[in-house]
Amino acid sequence: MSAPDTADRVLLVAAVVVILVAGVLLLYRIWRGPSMLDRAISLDVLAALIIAGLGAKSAVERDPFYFPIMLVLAFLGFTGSVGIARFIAVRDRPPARHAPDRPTGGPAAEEGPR
Amino acid sequence: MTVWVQITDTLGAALVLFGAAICLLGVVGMLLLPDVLSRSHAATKPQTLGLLLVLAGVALRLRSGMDLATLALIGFFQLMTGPVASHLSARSAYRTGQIEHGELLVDDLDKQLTERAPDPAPDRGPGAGQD
Repeated sequence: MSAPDTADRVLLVAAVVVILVAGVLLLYRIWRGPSMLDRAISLDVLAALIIAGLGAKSAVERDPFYFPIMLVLAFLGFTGSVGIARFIAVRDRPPARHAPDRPTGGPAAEEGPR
Repeated sequence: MTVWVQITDTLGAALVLFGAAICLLGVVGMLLLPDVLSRSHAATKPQTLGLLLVLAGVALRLRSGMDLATLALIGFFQLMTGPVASHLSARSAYRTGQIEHGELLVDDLDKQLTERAPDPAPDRGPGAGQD
């Protein structure tokens, strides 16, 4: 009874560590992301990772305490991404296309709006 | 009986670990891929497959009816809202010109947008160009 429980605990702790590593890498993408759309997609993935991490915690403790939080994140986690895609991404168009790629200033013919 | 309970527990833990590994794989794809559209393609893997595997693993470890219903509802809402957000992000990326048009093999939307944009078509009837 003891050895399979130890195997379960090792598997679940490894899952939590993998999700935490994925979250740290995703925070680097959010910090780095060239445009607001990259950050919006990354925040969507971050909501999915938070749901997965809460699920792994619930699987370790056999406790359904965090299930309502996972449910709310599952159907409200996409609203920020939709708002950025509909309203903010139109507004930051010139710095999103030119400033991160060519920080020293590109050719002047491309700087005008399309 | 307790052997099957133990097998179900270990299978659930292995499914949780497998889903977490798929989440990590999708995030590595988001770090390495160069474009908004390809990053969005990589981003849907942890949102659907990884999260569904984690939820299946949790459902195998907590075996009561109420928990199974809540987990099924979480998976259902994630499957409904994920494509909506991904589609809106990809549409906004195309319309604001944040993708490389030279790297696309087939671009069906470009012809429609470039034919419509410089020519507002004044000879059409009222309400024909409204969409």
